[in-house]
Amino acid sequence: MHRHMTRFGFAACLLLAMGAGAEAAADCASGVVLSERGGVLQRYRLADVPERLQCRVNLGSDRPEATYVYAHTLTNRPQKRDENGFWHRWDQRVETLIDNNFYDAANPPADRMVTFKIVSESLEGTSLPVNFHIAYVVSGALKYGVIVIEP
Amino acid sequence: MTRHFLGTLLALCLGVAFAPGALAQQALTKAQVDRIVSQAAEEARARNVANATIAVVDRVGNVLGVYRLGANSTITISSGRNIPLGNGLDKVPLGTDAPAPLNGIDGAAYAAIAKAVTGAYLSSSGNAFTTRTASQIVQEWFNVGERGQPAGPLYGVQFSSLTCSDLVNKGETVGFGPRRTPLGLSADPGGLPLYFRGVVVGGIGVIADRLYSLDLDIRDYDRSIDELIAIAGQAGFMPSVAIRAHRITVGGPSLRYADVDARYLVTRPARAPALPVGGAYITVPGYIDVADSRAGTAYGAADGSSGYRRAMAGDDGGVGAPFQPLINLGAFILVDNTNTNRFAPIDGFDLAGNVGGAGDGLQAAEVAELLVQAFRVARVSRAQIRKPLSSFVQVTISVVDVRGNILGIVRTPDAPVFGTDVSLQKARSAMLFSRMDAGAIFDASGATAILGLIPVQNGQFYADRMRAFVGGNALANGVAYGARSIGNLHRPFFPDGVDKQKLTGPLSTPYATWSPFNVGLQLDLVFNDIILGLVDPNNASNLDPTTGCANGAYRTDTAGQPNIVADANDNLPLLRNGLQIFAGGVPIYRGNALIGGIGISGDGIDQDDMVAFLGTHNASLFLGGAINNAPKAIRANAINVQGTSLRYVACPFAPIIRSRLQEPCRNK
Repeated sequence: MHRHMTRFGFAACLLLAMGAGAEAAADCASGVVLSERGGVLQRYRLADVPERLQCRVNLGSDRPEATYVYAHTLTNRPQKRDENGFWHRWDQRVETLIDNNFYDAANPPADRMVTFKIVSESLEGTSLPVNFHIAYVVSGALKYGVIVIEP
Repeated sequence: MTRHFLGTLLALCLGVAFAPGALAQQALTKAQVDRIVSQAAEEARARNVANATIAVVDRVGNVLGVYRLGANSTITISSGRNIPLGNGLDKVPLGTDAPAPLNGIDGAAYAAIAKAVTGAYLSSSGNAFTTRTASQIVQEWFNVGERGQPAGPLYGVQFSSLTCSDLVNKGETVGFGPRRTPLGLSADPGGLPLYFRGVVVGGIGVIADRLYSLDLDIRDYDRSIDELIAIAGQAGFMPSVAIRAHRITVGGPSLRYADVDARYLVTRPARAPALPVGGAYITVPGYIDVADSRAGTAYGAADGSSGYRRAMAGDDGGVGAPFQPLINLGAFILVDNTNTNRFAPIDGFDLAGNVGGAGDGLQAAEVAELLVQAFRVARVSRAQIRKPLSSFVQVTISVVDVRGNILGIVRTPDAPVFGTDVSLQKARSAMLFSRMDAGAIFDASGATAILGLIPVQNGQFYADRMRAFVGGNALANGVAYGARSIGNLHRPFFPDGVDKQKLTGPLSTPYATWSPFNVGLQLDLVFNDIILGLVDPNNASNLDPTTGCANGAYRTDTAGQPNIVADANDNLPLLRNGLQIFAGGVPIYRGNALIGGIGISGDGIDQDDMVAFLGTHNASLFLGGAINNAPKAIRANAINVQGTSLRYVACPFAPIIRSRLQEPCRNK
């Protein structure tokens, strides 16, 4: 484990670190990739949130075992989405998340793209900022990304 | 029932007589912001200052205007201790002349904001503190330079309300507080509180000398250009003399408010034009999205716009009757943009991953009782730093579970805002250090420097030092650490302040390279976050409340267990708003099982300790022993470290107003 880095690593490391958490060039409309490290996929101001908020995810070679949507606000009451689009309190345990079944293993999409539905209601009156996490489990690993809604 | 408990109960009953009056709700208007800035700008122009940056914030940290005279100029963080670059944040340049990518940062704007926020956050209707006051209370000795004396009472507070905190609200529009500060709290003179009709309405911060520093010599009176300009801006918005820092003593020494006053000004602020001239308002990424001034929020307003208001019916989160006393007693809560209680009591996790009554975890009703009892202790206790004398203690109270999840937060009405984040830090810090697997958690955290030229030690480094210093089983033996105990081990001298013994606390930087900008573990945990927060304040990790400080994208693994193993980001996820290293937090137990932590921050660190400790003790009594303070045998004061003992808590001797009760924490 490195405890020190050299001067030469200065800019490169900073940029790498920034890049790790920075928004991807792609957006939810064109397709994004989820990872175990997460990261912001897209950021919206409240006024700019589409009527149906959803996100296309490029699975690559992954075959998800379950797909999830959950939300964090600056409160101690995170929420999870069920298959029908209803939201429920969530205890932050991955095993209590509800599979939204966005991925049909029996009929995997040919283009490897899956659409995660998030909300189709107005977010007026919602605790903001809210971060919607979309995620799937593959080979025991949770891959996720975050969509940020700001006031 | 013991005599002490009877005494405490009596005092609690008497405390009803000290119900707080309603705080006036005041907000800075746009015109007032312009006036404050104009007054400051006139003083700067009259002094031919080439470059000055002036920031105004409201009480909860919303940035209301950043004004620039001259060009953007590079600032340098400097302790003034001749410590070279490569030691924490000391000597790091921020701005156009800095190496890429730090040259893309408006360092002066960030410094001015940090100073303004500090003036606002440290102050209340009972005490007016400045960044110069902060400088006095974060150094290695208190009073500054008095060798052999313990460190400043708020040693470490500079690393709070950070950009990465999961508690603070972020963004560029005016919204609910508390808000983050780009450089943490500042000790650089030139940050003052703003008052209107007796209440804190905000703060002003100025930087013109290009140094983000502190005052190393309390014996003289400086002529800081930053402070002079800020004093001019503050005209008409000054605190009463009676509550200024220099009227308040801590352990003997009086505090310092400012080294200059209005007599030293070369302008007459009242004659300044209504709108500032000679410069321009600027936008600051992450903090203000308009090149203009704007109005602030009114702290405590019922509409919740400031993020703080009095608790009312419906704020209990469903817990019901156990929360009712807080409503009756006038407790304040934190609310979001929907005016909903952000941290109503909820169940917590236990170490086995069970929630609330399904295991040992704290249950919502128990959390409410902890909040109620701690609040009651505060209400009857005499504040250290508040005027008039014998005012009760104003604090924020935070309760967390063993994963660092926030289970509940309440405040007394006029508690200083800085304590919101700090109380949570203390609760989490006491909880983490008391975990049996704390050493393993630190071993797994491989935080390394983003800036390659600045070596930052990782968690394993400090865990190894703890093992060598405290004993091979340190951080794996279930010792209960109070925030005070952690602080004992996180000072450049061990025992605290005793430099002749030439021992360095295992969590601290050695004194040769130590400064308030290079303290050791506390900084190293959040160094990356601070830098990233400056370089890209709208970055994902800076906005996601599930990410937080210490590079911690906290989440559970697929087995449902806490993700204590470092991931690719080198997490230390239990400290999502950073470590805190001064007194005022203790772990909470159910029998011998650790189940969480409680943190207090407000009107004095001994008082913070007492509210945490007695609050937990009294909650234990009211809950029939269902929860408790750490068993005496495992408290940190029971272990021998280098021939001396750590402190667990230290309560004031006779702290209860209108009571002769002495040593209220003794034998509990």
